[in-house]
Amino acid sequence: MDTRKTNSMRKLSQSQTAVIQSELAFAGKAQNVISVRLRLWGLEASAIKAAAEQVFASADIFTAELIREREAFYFHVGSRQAAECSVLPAMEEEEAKAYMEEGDCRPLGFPEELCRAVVIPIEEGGAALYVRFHHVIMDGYGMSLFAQRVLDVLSGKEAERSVFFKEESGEAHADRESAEGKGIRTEDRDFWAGFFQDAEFEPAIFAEVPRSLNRRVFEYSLDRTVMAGLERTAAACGVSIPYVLAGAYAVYLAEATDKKDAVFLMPRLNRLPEERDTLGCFTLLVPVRVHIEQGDSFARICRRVQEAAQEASARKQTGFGEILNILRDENVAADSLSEYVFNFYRFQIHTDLTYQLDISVAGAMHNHLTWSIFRKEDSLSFRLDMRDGVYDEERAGFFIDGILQILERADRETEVGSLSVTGKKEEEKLLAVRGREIEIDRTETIPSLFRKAAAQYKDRPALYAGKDSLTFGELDRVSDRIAAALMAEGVESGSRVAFMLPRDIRLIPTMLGILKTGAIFIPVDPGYPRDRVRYILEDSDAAVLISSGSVEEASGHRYLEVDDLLGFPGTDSSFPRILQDQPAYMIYTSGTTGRPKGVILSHRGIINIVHPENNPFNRDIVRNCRGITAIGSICFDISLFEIFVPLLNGLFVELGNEKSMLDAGELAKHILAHKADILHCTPSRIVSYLGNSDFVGALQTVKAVLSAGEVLPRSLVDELKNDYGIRIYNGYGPTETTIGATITEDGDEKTIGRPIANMGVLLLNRNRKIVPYGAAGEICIYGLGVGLGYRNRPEETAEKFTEYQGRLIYRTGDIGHFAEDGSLIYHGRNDRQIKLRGLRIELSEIEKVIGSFKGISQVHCMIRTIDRMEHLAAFYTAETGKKIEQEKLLEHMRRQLTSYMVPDILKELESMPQTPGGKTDLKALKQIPIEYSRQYRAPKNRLEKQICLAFSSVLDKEKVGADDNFFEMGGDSLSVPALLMEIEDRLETEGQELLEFGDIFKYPTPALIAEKIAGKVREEPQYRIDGLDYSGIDEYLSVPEGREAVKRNLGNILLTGVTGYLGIHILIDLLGRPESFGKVFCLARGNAKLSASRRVRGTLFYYAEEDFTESYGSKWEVVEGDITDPRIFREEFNEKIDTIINSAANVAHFAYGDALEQVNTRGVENLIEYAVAQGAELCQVSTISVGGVYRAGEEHGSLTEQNLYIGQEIHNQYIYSKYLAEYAMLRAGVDRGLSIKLMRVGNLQGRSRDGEFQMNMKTNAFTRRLAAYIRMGAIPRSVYDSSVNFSPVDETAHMIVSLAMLEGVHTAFHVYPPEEAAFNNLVAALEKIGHRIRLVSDEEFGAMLRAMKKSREGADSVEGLLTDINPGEYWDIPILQSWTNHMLELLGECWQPLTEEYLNRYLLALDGMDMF
Amino acid sequence: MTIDKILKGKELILNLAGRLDATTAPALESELKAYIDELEMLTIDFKGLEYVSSAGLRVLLFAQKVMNKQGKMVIRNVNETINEIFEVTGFIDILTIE
Repeated sequence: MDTRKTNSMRKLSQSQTAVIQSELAFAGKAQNVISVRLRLWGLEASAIKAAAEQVFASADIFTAELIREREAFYFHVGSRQAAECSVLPAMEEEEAKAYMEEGDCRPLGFPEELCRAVVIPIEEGGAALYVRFHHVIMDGYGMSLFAQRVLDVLSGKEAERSVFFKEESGEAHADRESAEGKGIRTEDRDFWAGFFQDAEFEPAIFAEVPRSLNRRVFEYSLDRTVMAGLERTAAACGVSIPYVLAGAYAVYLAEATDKKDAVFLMPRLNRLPEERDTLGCFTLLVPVRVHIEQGDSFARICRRVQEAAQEASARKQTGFGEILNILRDENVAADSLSEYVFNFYRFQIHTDLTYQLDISVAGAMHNHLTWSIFRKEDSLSFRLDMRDGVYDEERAGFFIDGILQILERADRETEVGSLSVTGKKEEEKLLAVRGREIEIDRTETIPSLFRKAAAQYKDRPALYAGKDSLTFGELDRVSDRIAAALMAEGVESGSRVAFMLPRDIRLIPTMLGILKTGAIFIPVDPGYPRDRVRYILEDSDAAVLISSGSVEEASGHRYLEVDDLLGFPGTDSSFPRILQDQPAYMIYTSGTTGRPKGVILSHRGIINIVHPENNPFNRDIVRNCRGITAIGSICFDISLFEIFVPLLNGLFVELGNEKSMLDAGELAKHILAHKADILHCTPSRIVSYLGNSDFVGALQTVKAVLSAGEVLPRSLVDELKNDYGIRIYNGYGPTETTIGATITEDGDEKTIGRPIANMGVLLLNRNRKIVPYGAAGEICIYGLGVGLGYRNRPEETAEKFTEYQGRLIYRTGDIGHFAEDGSLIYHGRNDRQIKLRGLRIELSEIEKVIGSFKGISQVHCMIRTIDRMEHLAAFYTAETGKKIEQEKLLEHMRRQLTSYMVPDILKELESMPQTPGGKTDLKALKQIPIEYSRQYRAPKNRLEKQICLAFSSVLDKEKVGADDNFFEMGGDSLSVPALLMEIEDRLETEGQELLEFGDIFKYPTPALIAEKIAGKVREEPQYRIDGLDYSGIDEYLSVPEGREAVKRNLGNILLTGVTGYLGIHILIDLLGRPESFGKVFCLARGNAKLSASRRVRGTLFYYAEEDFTESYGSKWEVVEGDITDPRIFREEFNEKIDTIINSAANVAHFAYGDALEQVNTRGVENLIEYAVAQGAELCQVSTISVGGVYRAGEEHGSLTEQNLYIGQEIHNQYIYSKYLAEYAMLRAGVDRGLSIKLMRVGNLQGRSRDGEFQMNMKTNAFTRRLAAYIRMGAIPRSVYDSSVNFSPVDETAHMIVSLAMLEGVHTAFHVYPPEEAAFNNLVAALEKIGHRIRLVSDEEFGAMLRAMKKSREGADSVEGLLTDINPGEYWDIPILQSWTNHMLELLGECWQPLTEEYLNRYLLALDGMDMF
Repeated sequence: MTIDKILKGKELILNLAGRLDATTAPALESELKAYIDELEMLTIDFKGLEYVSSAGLRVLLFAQKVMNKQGKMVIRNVNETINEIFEVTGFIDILTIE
């Protein structure tokens, strides 16, 4: 390479590199073609050409050649002629416009051609200069500058020289920091990770993913009055106009995506002052993230946008590509970060010439929307560059309307909550998504319609059930008799009547009979578990249960015999008048937390949905069919559709028996029995039945199928239509809106159709605002079918049955969006967003991707736990005859999903398990055996290999890869010491300790451990607590001198952690003094096999030897739930809670992932919210360990009941999580007035009463340590001479309850006995029960321990000492407790001394359980 | 608690019903002590057993230790509530549960 060439070679600047990256990503497209159109009047084309060429010649950027060598690009300066400008034949104005429009979207001949300029003489007068640049040599600002220069030359000025490539540095001007090979700097990573911390956003509003990058353009000029308003708003908000617009953009994006954060991209100028006049590409793109709360004022949002933009801008040098890489590493972004660009052009042209300037920023779109704003005279013009297939004219208009709407309403103080993002036209279109309006006679009820049908169809068959049948006339008479009999039993209009009957001829007359009395029927499935039946009967407070001796389950209940009702003599009683809005039935559906909810529905919804013109299915069957085979469980409301639509329209019902509900052959028999030509069946069930030849045969009879409850696969629609001539309809709707809300005739992968008559659908975001047309929102249903609410659940009723602009709506909790034609596309439940190892995952998104793989029939994803680690599991079935290759499916997923969203368990099933209702049976799915197969990566060096081998040996797994996680493979903290030993053995470290116990949690894979050993990892900072806001905390904790102890009643208590050792003793203590509180609600988790209630009772009995059944329900009650799930607090307690005692904690001192924080910190944060809302006092069981440690020799404070932060350090994840919980509580105390008590406890040990220790004694660090001394038969002198905090659990629980009763005191308490247990006493007591322990010097003990550790058995027996980490240079902060003891004294409480007898009882209790 | 016993040579089957706690455990213990020396097979059937407390566990542990030396002990028909106690206490690894 000669010197001349080297001197003229220039590396690409960072912004240029970014352009090249996008060029390579979409090669051959015009996404980097930017253009300037300068329309001039009164000037010759030749003059314009000359001016343009003069400007080209004045700037070095136009003489540089872009050279590509393999993957690298550089500029070769001065090696080409400056661009020329050609003059085209004259065109008409419109023609020229079209020419340029089309030209924008044509790629240049990259990399050779970077600029092309033409002048077009315009027939109407003047000419247009049209220059297309490749973005690598020019940016938007540069184009304005270019236009200015051309205008200057045309006005007679000389073209100023523009130097982009600096001579002296040998590098491009803008290249303040070479992007090449520098890697990501830590501070950049930290900044961007921090900038996006906890961001909750969605990159796109619309789900469309078009293939083409075609661009559409939409332009809009702001009128003067809007402009004036905008200026006022800017002044009022104290920001400039661009930030008001960006603020509106942020609000729009957050609301439209239904997220708390908006993210958009902004090009930043990136020019130094001396570069203001340089032609070239400088711009760097940065993402701006803005957090938006409904209570924020608009001014605040605008300022926040400004701050965020400035902050991001200060870090623009990271480069957009790297920012994206960082955010992907942090799992903040998947593929796209944001589809939205915001571009404000500040450049102002100065000239006396008449001109018009238009700038285009991209000829092809790989993002969805770029909003550019230009100054135009005394106003602004907007230009939207949009991706075709996502945006069209209408959507662009809606967007502009939405923004204008925000600008119009927003003023300084306007809260975001009051801003909507849809304009009038869009709202009209949204509200038009409703069914036809059909007039419904408001006097009709189910009985009145049935009587009409009976009169009309009298002798026609109405009902078949097995061998029995009834005509319409007979059914009317039989149900009259039942009604009369019920009335004779005292049933009246409005009574609640439950029935639990087999599927025989008596079932439907009973339902009709109940309705005729004006009562509400409540179906109960005889197959339900006993508890559920009892719950339904209790909760509904049914006046009467109708059942039969033939129902086995009925024997446990009082009931009216259905046969007696049928045999009732009189039928002539006069039935009451019934109103259409009166309740007709109540159906129990599963609540999200396990307790069924009674949904109350009126006659009105049924009258609407049975109308022959209500929906296409009704229209079809009323005209073309004879009768239906009904197999829906009577407890699901779809059965009411099966029964009432045919019956009230003169068709018959063939009532399938129990067997027919689950058996294809039996179902076929029913279909054929009387040639029923309508069938209701879920898609998944039909798919599985198609393999049965009897069923296939029976299908020849069927003309119409109604499916519901699931999305209908296109393949099934086609198969039924083509092979059997069957029309299939798919309905969607919750029980709460009377069976159905939408229906589709053809069904494709996703749509669930359009609303049925007199019903409509709205899509709202979480702030109950309507989302833009095409955006996803919660499906909310309004219209005649909306029910009356939930029984006994006023709060839930108010939450779910709410109003939108005067319409009563029901919020389904399902998410969907509208397709262009107004049909609804179903996304899934909004509660299917889960968190896996701290990452948010939308299960439906994964299912969508799997479902799009060829040959997949059905799919369901869930979290499954294997060896205590959670895994993402996907279950799927294949279409008949198709074979799914898992490798290809995985590849398919990896292409479309971020790594953490690719399930690590894939399981193909013969068929999806189904519930009796025909939906996918999640419970059964949870029980399907699975295996977790890991991605194997071979170790890359000897060190990794040895560690892999250590893993295999400890975990007893054959092959362990370098990236396999110890804890995901079944390792736990108990097996960590063995792993440490094994690693040290294999590496022959000769007793030198390479790793600490805690390291395995931090570095859980062989590769990471190898890095740690090799000294390659950056040490994690300790758990920082010094930077928190401690203002007001010590004042809050302080207590007035000499106060009296006044006891209060605890009222209703919420007690958590009740299956734990301390929690259960708090419950026992409370139940022992029932006068001191109202009722205690114990929050506990159930598991796969046991309900929460059974778990608590089992634990209670274990410790207390009674299960307190007599007081269950009156004094205490178990509620299923978990403090980590904030929903529980909304759902479950109907009574006001006065006191919360939180003893739930994850007490592992080391844990993998965020398990500790999840329970100990975030769980408490949930409780804080609940306590604030309830006005309850929150008592938190904490630990004196929050006192932390101090560096030996340094000054230190003491932890008292009146402080938290005393300069201590915390080195342990568990203590840190408990510390943060205390901190969060205290902040809530200071800032929000929450009343709190912190119960800091010590080392919980055996009961004072009988020494009984915790069930899972082997997980207790202290007892494991004792066991180690016993096995070694020795104890070191330093330990022998010391003592240990020793808190009997029953006394501790008692003290906590007593202290909780202290009136008007909010502070901390140090709840442990004043006296510690001396090790010499423990040793003496152990000797009494036959465990002799020798006292040895510390040195001798150390030598013994090292010897023990050499053998595996030895190491196992002393592992209780290995987990004990004592860094040596740190000492525990002293803890004081005089104030607590003083308060206890005032309360008349006193700790028992730790006597020899007690220690004996304790050790005997442990020994009796084989602890030692 | 009721204890129903069937002795067949060196095999003893105990059918327990009710609650095994500090009050009833001594009865079980004395039943066991009366026969255990001769046993090669001990089956304790939990079919009718509702709960177990810590005192109950101690008796089971005693029996298991003896039977480890001279034969086999099996516990069967354990309900979920008790099974969970066995799991949490770690007894699930010590006892043979069918």
